[in-house]
Amino acid sequence: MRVGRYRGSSFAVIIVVLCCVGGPAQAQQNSQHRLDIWDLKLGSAAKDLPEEAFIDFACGTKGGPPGTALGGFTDFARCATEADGLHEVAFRYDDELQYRLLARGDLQGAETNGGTTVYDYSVIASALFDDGGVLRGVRAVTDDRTTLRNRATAYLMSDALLNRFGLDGWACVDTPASRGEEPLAGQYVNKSCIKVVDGTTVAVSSHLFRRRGETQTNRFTGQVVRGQFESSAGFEIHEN
Amino acid sequence: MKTSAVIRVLALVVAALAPMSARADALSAFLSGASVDCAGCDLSNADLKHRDLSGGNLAGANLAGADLYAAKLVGTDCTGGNLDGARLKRADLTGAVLSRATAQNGNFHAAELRNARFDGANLTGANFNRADLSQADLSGAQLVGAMLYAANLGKANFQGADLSQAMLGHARMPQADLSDATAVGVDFTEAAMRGVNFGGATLDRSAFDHGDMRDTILSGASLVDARLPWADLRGSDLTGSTMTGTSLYSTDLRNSDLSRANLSGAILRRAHVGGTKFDQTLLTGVTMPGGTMHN
Repeated sequence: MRVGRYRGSSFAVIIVVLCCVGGPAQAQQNSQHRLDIWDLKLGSAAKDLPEEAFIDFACGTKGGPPGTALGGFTDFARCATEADGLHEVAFRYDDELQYRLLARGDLQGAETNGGTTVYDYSVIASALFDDGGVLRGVRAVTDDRTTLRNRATAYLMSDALLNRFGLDGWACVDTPASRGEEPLAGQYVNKSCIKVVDGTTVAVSSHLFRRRGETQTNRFTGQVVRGQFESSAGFEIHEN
Repeated sequence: MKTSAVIRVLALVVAALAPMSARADALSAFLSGASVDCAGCDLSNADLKHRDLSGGNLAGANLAGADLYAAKLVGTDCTGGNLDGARLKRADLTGAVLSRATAQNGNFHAAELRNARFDGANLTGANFNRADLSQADLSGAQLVGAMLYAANLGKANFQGADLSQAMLGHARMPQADLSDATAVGVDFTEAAMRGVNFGGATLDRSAFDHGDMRDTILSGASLVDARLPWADLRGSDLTGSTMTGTSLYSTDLRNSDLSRANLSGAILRRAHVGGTKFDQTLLTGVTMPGGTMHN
């Protein structure tokens, strides 16, 4: 296991340029700011969060399929507590602006302002509440329910996140391949990074590899098999 | 002045003030949450988010600019009310009555409006994107410039409604009734319209690209300069329709009936016409499926 400091790649720079410069500029063109996961302020009470900016509340499953449907953040107590005593409430971003743009045929605007995304990567987002209903953390894991092309690059979301909080000061762990795991297109990524920022702990992870039994071609038929790989990223921000 | 005259005047004053007092009481009870009835009340710009007003009587009430986000108005009577600019986003108005109401630029995004009544309502510029209007009655309603993108309009009644410039892309509207409706310049792109009744409707300059229009009734409809490329019109009734200058490029017209229709100047290039009836169809200047021009 190798512990090291993260160094930003040229790819990361491209991602940041695309996501941080191009994204907001495009959003500004459409003249409305859509609230997202970054607008959830840690330490806020569930009842004070901008609930109308989000939809489809449900108990979260750490990036898995949504659990029990909820009416909003204030129903957090209906979700089981995790090991750290927090209740996970998954949600999606509001879609009104996206549909207004779709109705007007503005497909590009709708794409920019649509979906539940972090730096243009589709994610399953959730908020983490303590028993008193105070927001103690947020979590997002890339959503596998996307195009194959988008899933293949999902692991790169971590680059944008590491840049967001400053490239220096991360404690990163590269976990070596376990038995049966193989690189994908010559790359094996299984990295976790942690950094303390302004009274919060930020944890970022990224994964790119093939699991045991996953292949690019069917060894019996010789046909190309698509989608047999793990490519994902996620992050959690917790109040210290 | 005689005593009897004074009493008579006082009685008239009391009689005149009584309704005002009753309305003030109703308003007070409504705003406190004790009542769901407030007919004729001035509730303009009121904050009614998440309120349960089911079964209430709000007929003739002024709800202009009111915020009814995620409110519950199941079966609520809003007949003749003013909901101009009101926000009913994600509200539940199942079976609500908004007949002859006005909700210009109202926001009904993703609202539940099954079996609701909007007959004769003015819904100009309203937002019904992703709303469920299945089996709703919108007959005679004004929906000019309204947004109904990806809305569920199954079996909805738009008879005689004005939908000009409305946006219905990706709407799901099987068996909806748009007979005698005016829908000029409407976007129906990729809408699911199987079995819709457009009989006698004015659909000039509307776009039906890639629409599923199987078994639709378009008899007597006007589709001047309309666009139907790649639309599926199999088994449809287009008898007596006016389709001058209409684009039917790659349109599937198999087993449809175009008898007595006027297709002058229409484009039928690459259209599928197996089993299509062309009895007494006017084909002057039509670009035929093979690319030739009909005289």
